[in-house]
Amino acid sequence: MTEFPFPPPVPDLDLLLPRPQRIAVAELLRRLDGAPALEPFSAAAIALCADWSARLLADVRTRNRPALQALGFWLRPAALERLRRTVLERLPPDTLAVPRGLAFLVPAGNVDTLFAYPLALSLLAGNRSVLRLSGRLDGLAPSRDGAMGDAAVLLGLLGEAMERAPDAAASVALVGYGHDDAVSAALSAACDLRAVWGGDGSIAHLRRLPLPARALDLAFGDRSSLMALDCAAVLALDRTGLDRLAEDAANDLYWFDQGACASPRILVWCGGTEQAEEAADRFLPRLDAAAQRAGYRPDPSLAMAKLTALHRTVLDLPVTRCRRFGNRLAVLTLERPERPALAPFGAGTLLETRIPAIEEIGPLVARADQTLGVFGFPSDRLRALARRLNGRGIDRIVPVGRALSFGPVWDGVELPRQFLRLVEIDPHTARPPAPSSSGS
Amino acid sequence: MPDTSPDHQADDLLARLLAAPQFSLPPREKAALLLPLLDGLTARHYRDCPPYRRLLDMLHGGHVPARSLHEVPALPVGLFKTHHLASVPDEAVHAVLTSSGTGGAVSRVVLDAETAALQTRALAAVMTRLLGPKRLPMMIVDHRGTLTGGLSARAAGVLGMMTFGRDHRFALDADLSFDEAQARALLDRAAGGPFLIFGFTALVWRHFLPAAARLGLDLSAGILVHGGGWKTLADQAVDNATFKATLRRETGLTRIHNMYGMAEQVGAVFLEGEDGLLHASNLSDVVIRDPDSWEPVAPGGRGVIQVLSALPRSYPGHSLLTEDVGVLHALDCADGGDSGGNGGGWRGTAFTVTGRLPRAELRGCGDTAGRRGP
Repeated sequence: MTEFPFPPPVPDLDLLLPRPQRIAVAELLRRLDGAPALEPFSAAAIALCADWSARLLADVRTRNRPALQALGFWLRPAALERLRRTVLERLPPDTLAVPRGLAFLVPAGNVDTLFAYPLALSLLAGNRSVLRLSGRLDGLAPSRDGAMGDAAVLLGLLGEAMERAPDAAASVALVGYGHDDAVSAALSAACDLRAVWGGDGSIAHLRRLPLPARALDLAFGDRSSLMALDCAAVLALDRTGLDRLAEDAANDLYWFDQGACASPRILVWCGGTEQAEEAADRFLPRLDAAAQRAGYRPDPSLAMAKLTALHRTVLDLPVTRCRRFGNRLAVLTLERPERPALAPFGAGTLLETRIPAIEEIGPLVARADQTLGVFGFPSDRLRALARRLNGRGIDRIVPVGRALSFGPVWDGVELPRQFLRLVEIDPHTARPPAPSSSGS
Repeated sequence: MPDTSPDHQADDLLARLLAAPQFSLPPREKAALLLPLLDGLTARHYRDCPPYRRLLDMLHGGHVPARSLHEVPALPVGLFKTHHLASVPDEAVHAVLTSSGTGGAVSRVVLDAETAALQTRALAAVMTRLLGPKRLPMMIVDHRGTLTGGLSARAAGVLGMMTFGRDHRFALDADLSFDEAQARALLDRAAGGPFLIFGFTALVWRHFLPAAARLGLDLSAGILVHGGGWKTLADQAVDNATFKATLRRETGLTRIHNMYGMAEQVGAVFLEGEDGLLHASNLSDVVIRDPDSWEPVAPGGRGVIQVLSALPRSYPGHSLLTEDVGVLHALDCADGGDSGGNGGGWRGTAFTVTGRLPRAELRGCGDTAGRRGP
C-alpha cells in the first residue's frame, strides 16, 4: 500500500481580475504578499473606488440598472469620506486602525452585484483581498435580450479602473474556481479574515475548512425581512404619494426577484381591521402598477415555480385569502398575526397580516429577520420597538424603498470595523517606566 | 328507475369516448363529451379531496363550472411531489405510482382499483387504434430487471404496454447491452409479419439503434412506440426528425410513434401521428399556455403544456399544468394522415413538446458559493 507523504497538490484557479490568467494558489498568495502595503482608507484605494464609481455613473449600460447606479453612488469620494469618518473617528481612545491582513471573501453566488460592497470595504481597509466569484452569478451570462449581465458590466468597469490604479489593484484578486474544497482550504489556511455570504448549508460546508487560530470568521447566513405600513398614513396619501410609496415598495420587492435577504416577504398592516382592508385595497393595485411600470416580468421557469409555490403555500399555511395580480404580484392573507412556519416564495409574493400597532409586531419577528422596511411611524416609536425586541430579530429599520441600499452595518455587524484591527498605544509609553515590584 | 347519479352519467360518457375510434372525434363533438366529464371530476375532487377544495376556494373562487376545456382549473404538477392529494380513503388505495422527476423529488400518485382499471382500458383503446385489435409479437427495449423493484413509472409503462403484445422479448441485458439472441428470436417469431417495439426514447437511441444498425437487422415490419422524454437526446442535439430519419435509414423502421404522458396521468397518452405531431386521444386534451399571462395560446404559439384527462378519479389530476414546453400546431388536425388503414385521420389538438422548463433558481442571498451538493 502506498503512503503519500505529501498533501494532495492544490489545483490552479482562474484569476479573473486583474489580468485574467490561470494561476496556482501559492503563486497568487505570493503576489498578494508582495503588493504595496496600504493603510486604511489609503489615497490609492479611494482613487480606485472613485474611478470605478465614475465609470459606473457614466456608462450608458448602467442607465436602466438601478443596482449598478446605487453602487456607483455608494462609491463616490464624498460618500467614502463620510464612511472614513464614521469608521476612523469613532475608534476607542488610544487606538490606531490597521488592516487585518489577507481577507478571503466568499460573497453570495446568486446576487449579481452585492459582491462589490465587501470587496470595496476590504480594499479600503487596506487588506489584501481574494474574492471568490461564483460561476453561478446570473449577471455573468447575457440576459434574455442578449444584453450583458449586471455582474459582467460591473467587472468590466472594475477591470478598467484597476488598470489605472496598479498599486491598489495589486492587493486585490477576483478569482473563480469550481466546487473545489482544496482551493478553498488553501485560501482559508492562509487568510486572517474569512467572510462568507450564503445559505446556511454553504456556510456550514466552508466552516469545515480550518482557519489559522487567530483568524476571524464572519458568516452572513440566510435572513428574512418584513415591511410594515401604518394604515392611517397610507390612507392619508394622495394619488402621487401613494404611487411614490408603491414605487419604493416595488424597489424593495423586485430587485433580485425578491430573493435578497433584505427583500420583504411579509407585509404587516398596522391599524384597525377595516382600515387595513381599505389601505390594502388602495395600495396593492398601485404596487402592481409600479411593478408593471418597472417592467418586472419573471421568466417562464420562475413564473411556473412561483405558481407552484403559491399552491403549496395555500396548503401549508392558514391563508384566508389570495389576491393575484398577473404573474407580478400575489398577496396571501394570514388572519392571525403569527410568524408563518415558512417564508413565501419570492418573485413578487407577499404574506400580509394585520396588527393593531407596530409595537405588537413581536410575534411576527424571528431571530433570522434582518430588515424591517417601514412607512408612517415616528422614529421614537421605532427606537422603542428596537429596544423592546432587544435583539430578538431585526438588525435594520429603514424607510420603505431603502431595504436593499447598502450601509456599513451588515446583519447587525459593523462591517468596515470588522475588516480592521486595532493597535493599542498606551499613553503611558510616553512616561518613564515605573519601578518594578518584582525584583528580577 | 334509470340511474341518473353523476357517477353513472360519467360512466356513460366515458364509455362513449372509449367506444369511438381514438383520435377520430371532431373537437366540438369530443368537447361535448369530455367537458362534462372533466367538470364532474372537478366537482368530485372538490367534494372528496380537502386540499383540492382549499386550493380551488383560495385560488379559483371555489368550484365554478367550466364553460370550455381551458376553464377547467389546473394544478401545477409539482404539487404531487410535496403533497398527498387523494380523493379516496387510505383503505381504498390500490397502488401508489411514483415517478422520480428530474428535480430529485418523487411524485406520488394515488390509484384506487377503479382509476387503475380505467387507465388500463384507456390505454388499450389508444393502442388498439395504433396496433389493431390483434396482439403483436413484442420487443421491449429494456431489461427484464426493470419490472422488479417498486412500481416506478418506467416499470408501469413497460408492464402497461406488455398487455398489447405477445411473445415478449427483452432486447437489452441488465447492463443495457444489446441481446442479439433475443432480438433475432423475436424477428423469427414475427416471420416477416408486423411486430411491436416499445421502449424509452433514450434507450432506443443509445442502446438499441446502434446495435440493430451494426447487425443489419431488418425492422421494416415493426411498429415502434417510444416515450419518456427528449432531454438526454436534446443534449446530443437529436430531435424527432433526426431520430426517425436515422432509424429509417439504419433499420428500415418507418412506423415510429412518440408517446407523451406522465405518471400523474397514466392511460390518456398522447401519440404521434403520421404527421409527426402529437395528438390527444378521445379521453384527453392539451392546452398550451403563455407563461406570462397563463392564457391559452393560438395555433402556432409556444408555452407551458397543460394536460387534461378524463381518467383520474382517485386523485385530483384531471387537469395539470406540466413543466414541459410545447408548441400548439392546430386545434383540429382534420387531415393528420392515416394510421395504416385503421380508419380515419388524426383529429383534434396537435402539438409538439419542445423541452422542459429549466429548474428555476431564485436569485438572492439564498444558497451560494460553497457548493452545489448532490
